[in-house]
Amino acid sequence: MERKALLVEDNENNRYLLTLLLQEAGLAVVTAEDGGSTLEIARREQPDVVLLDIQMPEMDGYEVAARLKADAELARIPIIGVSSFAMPGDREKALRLGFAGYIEKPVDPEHFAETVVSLMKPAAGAL
Amino acid sequence: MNDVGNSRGERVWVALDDLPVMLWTSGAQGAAGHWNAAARRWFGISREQAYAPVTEFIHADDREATRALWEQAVSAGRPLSTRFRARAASGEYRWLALSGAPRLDDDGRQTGWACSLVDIRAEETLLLTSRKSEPNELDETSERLKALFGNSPVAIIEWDPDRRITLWMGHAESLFGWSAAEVAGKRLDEFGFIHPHDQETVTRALNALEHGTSSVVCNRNYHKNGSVIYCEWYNSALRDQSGRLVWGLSLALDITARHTMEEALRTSEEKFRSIFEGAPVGIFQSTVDGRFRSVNSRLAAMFHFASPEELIGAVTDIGADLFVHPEKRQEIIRRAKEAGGFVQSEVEYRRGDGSRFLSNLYIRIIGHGNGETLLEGFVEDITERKRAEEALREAHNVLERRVEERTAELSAANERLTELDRLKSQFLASMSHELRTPLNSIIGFTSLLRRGVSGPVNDEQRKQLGIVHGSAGHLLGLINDLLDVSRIEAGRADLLHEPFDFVEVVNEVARVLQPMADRKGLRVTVDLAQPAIPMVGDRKRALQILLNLVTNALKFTEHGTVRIRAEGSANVLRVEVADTGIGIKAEHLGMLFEAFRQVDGSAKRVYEGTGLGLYLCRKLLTLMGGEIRVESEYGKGSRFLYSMPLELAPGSVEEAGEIHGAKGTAGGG
Repeated sequence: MERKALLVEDNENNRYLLTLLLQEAGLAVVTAEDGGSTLEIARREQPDVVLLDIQMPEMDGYEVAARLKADAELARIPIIGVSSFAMPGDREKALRLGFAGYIEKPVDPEHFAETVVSLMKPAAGAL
Repeated sequence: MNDVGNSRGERVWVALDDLPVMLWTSGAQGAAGHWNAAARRWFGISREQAYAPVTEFIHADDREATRALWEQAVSAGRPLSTRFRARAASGEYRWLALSGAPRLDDDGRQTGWACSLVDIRAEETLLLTSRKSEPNELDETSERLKALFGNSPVAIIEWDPDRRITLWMGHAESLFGWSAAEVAGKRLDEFGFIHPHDQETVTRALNALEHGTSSVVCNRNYHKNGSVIYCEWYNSALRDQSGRLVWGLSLALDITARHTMEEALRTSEEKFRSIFEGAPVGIFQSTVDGRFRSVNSRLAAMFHFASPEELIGAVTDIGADLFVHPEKRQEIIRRAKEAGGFVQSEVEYRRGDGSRFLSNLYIRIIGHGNGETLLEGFVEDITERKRAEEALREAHNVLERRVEERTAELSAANERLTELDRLKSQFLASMSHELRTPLNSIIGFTSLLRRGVSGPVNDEQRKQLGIVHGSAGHLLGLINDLLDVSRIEAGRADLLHEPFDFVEVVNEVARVLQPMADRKGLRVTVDLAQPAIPMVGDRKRALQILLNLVTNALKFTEHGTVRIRAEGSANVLRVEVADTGIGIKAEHLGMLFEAFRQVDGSAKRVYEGTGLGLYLCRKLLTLMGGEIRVESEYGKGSRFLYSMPLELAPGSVEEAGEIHGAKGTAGGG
């Protein structure tokens, strides 16, 4: 079964790029354009990983992550932060909030998808 | 005086009667005495009363005690010395000193007494007049004189009109040291007997005597042994009918002791007067009702008076005349009475011209001999001190105000700086974010295009996409370096404290940069002193430094080798990165580690780079307690040597290591 990534990203260009990179690695990609719609889509799509932009209008990535973690059904899904915040403490904050990983933008197109896959739980039956 | 005798006895008796010392001679057992002229004058008795008993003149209070002493002395036959008050001719009682000695015959029997009486307080000049006396036999006279003056302090010297000594007796020998034989026939002034400084005085007195003026003179004489004796001389003369001097008679009393005492008293007085007058404080004695008794010059000057006398004369009520608050004086006096010693008080005085001055007054109550109460005090002008204190206090206040103002300014400036710093951080964060977002697309899509994910790309297009990709990477490197520099300079580059192996760092750098070396046809060699170099610190920073240096070496080398050597010993890591590149001109070595410097110059930037790499390396090494230096020969290559502790000193915050972006291979999740 094809594994699915939910990409939450408000920037259309980035959404397009990251979708391509993830698809290149064989992942199915669903997207959300803002934090507010993320929970609903996640419940519907049941993704294997959530790629979460941190800086978004209205509801930022930290808030979205908190809600995901608060949802019994969704709490198990690993969250990977994808952010252009590069000041000291950004990564630590994300990890402290239970993120599985943190990838800085601009992403390295050669290794981005590879990194995402490595942070996901092993696919059922992959062993 | 019409019958001036020629015999010596006669002369002596004249002299005896005329002695300035009161004499009283008596028969055995003190009976029926005889008064000489000086004594008769003092007691006011006539010649006819010359045998009057002495006791009737003695003050009632002293009479019994004196009589008892006298009887005791007479019965024991011992000399007597006592004092008593006696009624003088004027009717007043005065103190007399009596010295008496018994006269003894050859068998030691008492034949009578010779006593001298001295008016202790007498200061009047005794006028000597020549008198005639009943003639007596010389021998008897001499005997009598000897008996009289045996215990007397009087020296008797008689001289002729040539001033040659004819008689040297009484106390003369013991007082002056010369015997009668030694001086007989000598002139008074020819044997060093008269002090040279007083020679003139003596001569004048003797000259005056020749013209009929008796005199009392104080002068200095020499003892035969050279010591100085102060004497009081009573000079008188016998004259013939024509008034010509026949004999001179000089009687001397030793007043050395008195003189010494007076001298000491004068010295002492001078000393205390000097202290009194020279004192830098005003000193005074005053009465309780407010008059000065004595003041020193300083006090007079304080009140602008020319002399102490003027101040004393001008002030009749110290409180009313000099105190700004007169009632204060009474209060101070009351306190001084209570205290029984000095009390201190700050007093404001005013002068005649209305000006005022502040003083420190020390005052005490003293009793006076006559039962009067006096005040004694010291006045210290403290106007200047007060002014200085005031100035100091004012200066202090001004300073304090300035410090407060400055503190407020600094505090405001600090707030502004804090705010600026916050804005700068915010700016950096948002710039970083805003610059990275488009870079994400540029780098990402370039990569996708080059890999043909979206369709086939021809070689020319691939080459051009490569240039876009490289430029974007360079831009990202620039952004990251700028961020790094900002953080380090803001002191916010926190270092991690984790164990790692530096050998792995070296290998990673070599591996990552191998493609770059391959492209340029360069060899990268690694020379490790140990198979493992364990360290504790920030691995990412350690990697960043080495990566930077090796990248530089590859960048500036066209042919040959880039060699990495590493050695960990004695808790120090030493690393060397050497190349065979273009090297660095000596004049450029100095600015190599400065920010935004590219040694190559600005005209032709063959080598890309931000110019921040070496600056960052040095900053990071400094931060980690290490150092870096460079050796280079232009045209032959460079050698960068750096060192750092194998174990990073604790204290660096073990917090956020920041993340590097997708620059080459250093980035990634």
